[in-house]
Amino acid sequence: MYGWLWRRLPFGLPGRITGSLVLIATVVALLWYVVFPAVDSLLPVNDGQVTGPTGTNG
Amino acid sequence: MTVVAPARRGTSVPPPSRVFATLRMVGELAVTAGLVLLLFAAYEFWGRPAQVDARQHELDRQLDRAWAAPPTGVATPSASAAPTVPFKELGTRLWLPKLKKHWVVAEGVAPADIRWAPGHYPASALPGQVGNFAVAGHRTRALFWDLDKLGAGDLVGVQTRDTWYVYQVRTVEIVSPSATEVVAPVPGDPEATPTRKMLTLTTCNPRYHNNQRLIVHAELTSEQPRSSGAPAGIGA
Repeated sequence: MYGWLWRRLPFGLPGRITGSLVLIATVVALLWYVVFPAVDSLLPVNDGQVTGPTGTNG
Repeated sequence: MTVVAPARRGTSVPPPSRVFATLRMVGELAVTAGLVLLLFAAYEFWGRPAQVDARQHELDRQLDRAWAAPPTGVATPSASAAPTVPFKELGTRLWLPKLKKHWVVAEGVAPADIRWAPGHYPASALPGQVGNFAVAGHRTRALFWDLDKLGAGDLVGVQTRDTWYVYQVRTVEIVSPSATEVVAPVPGDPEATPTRKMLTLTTCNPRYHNNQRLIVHAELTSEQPRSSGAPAGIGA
């Protein structure tokens, strides 16, 4: 997978290193600013409120 | 150990290589998944608190502008300073001098309300009123992370447009997530008629777990006009 990607990046070794870093940065930014905030709000682990049995807040 | 090349031309991938390629692929995916999970842990620890801090900074400036505007009269065109994200504003700041933190408080305790701020239980009293001013907050580093460090005697400051209220912590307790009596007008006794002015903070306990709630009860000890400055011990 990564080998396949590496072989397809253009402009020799410098180009491959640059291209890899750009791809990694893109994926990390996408996760950090889009995916993780969306996932975070679905996680109940940090709930701070006390909630009644009906689901309404007491 | 070297892999023997296929003797015949035209054989693109010999069977063993295909197996190894599949195994390598699975391994790469597993390592990738591990790195993504590590990154998510880093996001929970550093990223989200930083985003909450940034949003709080923005809310702080909005509240300052709102308070600086004339309280009544003709509608001012300052509505152009609309919040970038819908946020139900209570018009209150909460100060925990022991933790060296303060926040703009949201109205409501639904997940969307308390995403960026501690939230006021809508049915509970307002600051300074007889009853229980109850506020929920996430146990993240930007919000109620160190709430367990509060103890009896510590001060809690509440700032509204006109008034500073100072509450003093009375008790700290750990309850189940369904213990709604802690935010009742008389904490612990939902049927009773309130006579005291209480404040209650709720957050989850332990950190990053959802099976308990950490509760801090405080009682109003003094109040003064906001124009006369921050009360002693609040450090605003």
